[in-house]
Amino acid sequence: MKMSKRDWIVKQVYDIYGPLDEQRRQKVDQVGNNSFLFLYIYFNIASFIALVMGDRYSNDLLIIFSFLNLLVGFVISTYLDFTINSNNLSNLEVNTRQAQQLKLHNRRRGILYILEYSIEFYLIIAFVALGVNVPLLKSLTDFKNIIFAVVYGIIFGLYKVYRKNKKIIPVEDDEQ
Amino acid sequence: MNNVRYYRKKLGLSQLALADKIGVSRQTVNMIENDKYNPTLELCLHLAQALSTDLNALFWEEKKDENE
Repeated sequence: MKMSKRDWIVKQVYDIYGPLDEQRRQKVDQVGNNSFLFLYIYFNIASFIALVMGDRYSNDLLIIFSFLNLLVGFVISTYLDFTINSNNLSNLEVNTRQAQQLKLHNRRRGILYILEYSIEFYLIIAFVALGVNVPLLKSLTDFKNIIFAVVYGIIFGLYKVYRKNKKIIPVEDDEQ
Repeated sequence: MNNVRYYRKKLGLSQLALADKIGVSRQTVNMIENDKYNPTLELCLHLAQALSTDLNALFWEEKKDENE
């Protein structure tokens, strides 16, 4: 069955590997609703504070909310990660033979992941350098940047393969 | 308690095989069998078709008399 775009986005955001069936979808909706409620309340309180005090304490509020936003983001992502993992929503349970095939497939795709992360980091370095007035061409052709991007790509590409393979759970056919 | 496990074993299917047949995860089949999850009507129908039986046979429970 072809996956809808919404399902694809949900699987990417919640890091779900395997079918997004109704039981998983229900749990994901519950987690998503809780996160939304928390963010909604935080957003309203933060906006009110910024509205009332923004004129007089703009610099202080900028620093405080920059820190708070990062903290809230961290709390939400930890909550999502914990709930998804504790409910085994991100696992893919297959038989032993399929598990071996899938892991091998993921290892082969590792090269693509390495390439993807390397290019991503390479472009990020280049554009960050632009922000500090280093010419784009100079940062794109800097040998050090290329080496950093490749190393970053290898580390994160291999980590992605490791994480995906860890989610593949081989199940014996007669397991209860 | 439902009879999903009984009919599944009667057909010689594993939880994984049944899950693949109806397009859900093995975890979902396990939770249905252990009464930890209430499937939607659509999933119940798919289960009944996959197990070659009907909804009553799978899910009907006699109500216990309150006076007993």
